[in-house]
Amino acid sequence: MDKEIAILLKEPGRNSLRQILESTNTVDLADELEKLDGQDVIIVFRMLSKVKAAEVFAHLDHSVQQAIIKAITDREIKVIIDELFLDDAVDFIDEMPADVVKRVLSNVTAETRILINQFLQYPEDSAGSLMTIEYVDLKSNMNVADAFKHIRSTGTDKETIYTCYVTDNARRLIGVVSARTLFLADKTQLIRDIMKTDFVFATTHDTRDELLSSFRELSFLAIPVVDNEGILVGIVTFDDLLVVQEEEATEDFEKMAAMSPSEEPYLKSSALLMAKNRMPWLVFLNFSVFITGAIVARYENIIAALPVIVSFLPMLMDTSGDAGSQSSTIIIRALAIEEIKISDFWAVLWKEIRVALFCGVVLAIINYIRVVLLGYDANIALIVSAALFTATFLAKTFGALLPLCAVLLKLDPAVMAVPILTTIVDASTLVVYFNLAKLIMHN
Amino acid sequence: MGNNTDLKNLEYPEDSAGRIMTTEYVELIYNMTVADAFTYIQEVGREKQNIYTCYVVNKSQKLIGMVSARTLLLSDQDLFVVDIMEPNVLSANVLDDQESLMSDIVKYGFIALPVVDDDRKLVGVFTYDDAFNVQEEEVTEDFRKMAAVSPSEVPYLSTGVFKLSMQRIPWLLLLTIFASITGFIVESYEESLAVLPALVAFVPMLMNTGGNAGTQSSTVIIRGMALGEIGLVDSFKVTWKELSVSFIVGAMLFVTTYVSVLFFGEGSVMAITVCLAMLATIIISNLTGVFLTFLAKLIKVDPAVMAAPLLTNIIDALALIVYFSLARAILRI
Repeated sequence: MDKEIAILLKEPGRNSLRQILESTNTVDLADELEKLDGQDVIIVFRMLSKVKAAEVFAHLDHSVQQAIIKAITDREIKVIIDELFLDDAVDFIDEMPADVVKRVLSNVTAETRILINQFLQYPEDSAGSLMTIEYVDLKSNMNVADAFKHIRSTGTDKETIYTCYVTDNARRLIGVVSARTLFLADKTQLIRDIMKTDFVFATTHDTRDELLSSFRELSFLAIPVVDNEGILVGIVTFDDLLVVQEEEATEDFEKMAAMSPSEEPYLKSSALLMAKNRMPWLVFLNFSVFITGAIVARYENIIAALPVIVSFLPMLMDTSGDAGSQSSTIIIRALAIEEIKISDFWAVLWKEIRVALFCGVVLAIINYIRVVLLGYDANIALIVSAALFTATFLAKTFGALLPLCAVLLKLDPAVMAVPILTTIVDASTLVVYFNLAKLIMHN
Repeated sequence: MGNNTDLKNLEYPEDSAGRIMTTEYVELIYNMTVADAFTYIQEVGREKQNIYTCYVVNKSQKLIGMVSARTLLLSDQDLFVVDIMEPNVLSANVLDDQESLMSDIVKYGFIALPVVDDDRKLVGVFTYDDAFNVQEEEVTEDFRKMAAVSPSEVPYLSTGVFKLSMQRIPWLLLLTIFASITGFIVESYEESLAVLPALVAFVPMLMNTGGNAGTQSSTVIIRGMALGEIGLVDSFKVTWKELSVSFIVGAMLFVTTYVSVLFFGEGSVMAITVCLAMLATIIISNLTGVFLTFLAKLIKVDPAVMAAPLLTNIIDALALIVYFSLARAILRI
């Protein structure tokens, strides 16, 4: 369709283009717009209706947003910002350079400006930074008919009308009523009689993880957000949470691969930024030479006398690395989706220890047979197998223990990840392996 | 909520839209008025999972549009549903993979996505809470694949020790066999090792750095592919990018490794050898990460299975060949 828009743009009258713009949904339109050349983006964007333009704008890449803002008039800026839901407006402004922010803020009403500034102050990744203020609020003394009237008169500007929030005179949240309940209730019933008072809410400083955790439990369409005094300040809707879920998963993947998390999509990140994200742990591994290298160096005379033992090092180290990442990955993921909690510490550890023993024994036996069949000395097979057992056992136990301890210390379990684990396990494996080799040599 | 599997649903293949969809949705007929629609919703709404998105069908049950409760509420009571409905409605086929439905919900922010059969007859809906569950399951599955553990749908704590072990042992065994190939490579350099056992001291560091660098590149590519950010057509761009990253990272590590090796107490000739091996390892790691993930994509295997474990083995083998060859050439052993 990208070609289509570019081609249709050249048609006189542009009627078929208008039709396509009308019938395509805003997310797809944003995708198509991003594929157009600089000048065409502005032309097409200006052909959109006010409401649609704002919705498309919210879905555009920040670089395209910036290009549009630079090309359009102050009046047009005001219209767009007024139409945007506050959470989208804040998102956009947060990513713009100072001069653009200044121009945008000088073109909105004082009220919007104050709100935007206030929202920008919520810490990144808090409920406050995700929420929007376009919710329906009802009063407890309204009846259902009043409520419908209120929704009809204000509902077009709301992000969701399906959950309505009941506040008292001090704007404190006292109840929640779903559109479903309103639909099914009698017109004369009072809101206070049908509202739910044991509702779930978040506070502005709740983290994304805490929001995801309640969403996992309740699958709400929107969750109300209150400040320290219980005053309703916004709502977080399910669509934003689905995106948060996706971002959190990506972040966990990156952390477990020992990288600094990045919000930029792969193809749009510069090589320099990517190198910067990957560097710290790789440099850390440099220092591991002072542990593992030092151990190897102590046994140099054994290596010189029995160089064949070196050929099993890669196998031992790889297996322990893999065994450790199996355990740590499973535990980290189970913690992330709350399949296990920190109260399960001992149950999990005990389970992993038994799994570690079992895996270690099976691998050691099979390995012994394999090494003997390959024609090596039975003693060599014995020390390799013993070291393999130790490596697997330690890797799995530490693999489970480290993320659990991270949670105990209130650290992110995904972060500790591979490099530390590998270094600990490698060091222990090397010590065991070389000492066994030494024993055999003396015999 | 979600997942209320009608008996009928079980006829559909596992992981298909048909299996996970709910049949409890509100279906409006095209010739109802808004007032009719309200009466109907009040009648049936109590048993429906989602009344906020209603689907409009024609006489032969075919999906022709969608109307939200919001639109109904804000519209004139006398209008016909067909006049206020959104006719361009995105739908999924009952046999589509649930992952693609999930991405649509995440992308468009819909409360629900209608599911139709081959005749475009409406048969169910897939809701946002299903999307949440599917996303969580898919990510868990990817994590397990990347750590070489067989997938499982049973929660961790209710899985027995034997079963947990059996999900992991086959992969570990396979990997030990792969790793022995690296062992044979090392063995062919045995004479050099006997002369200069100090070479071995840097093997763990090189292997770990290589493994880690490979994990980094493959992880970002696998995740990028899972999110649809990276496709087969991007292979050249990705290769070029990873190559650039390799040179930046490699240059930096060249310096830190040089310092580390000197502090470790080796001479500068040894340091240069290890540093060159390090640079080569980083390049090999990142490019192997690209190669394996794109290969998987090309032969239509989930790229996640190509991650860390398999990758590390290949990288180790290549990195050690380079290291020992360099050592022979530079140190003349």
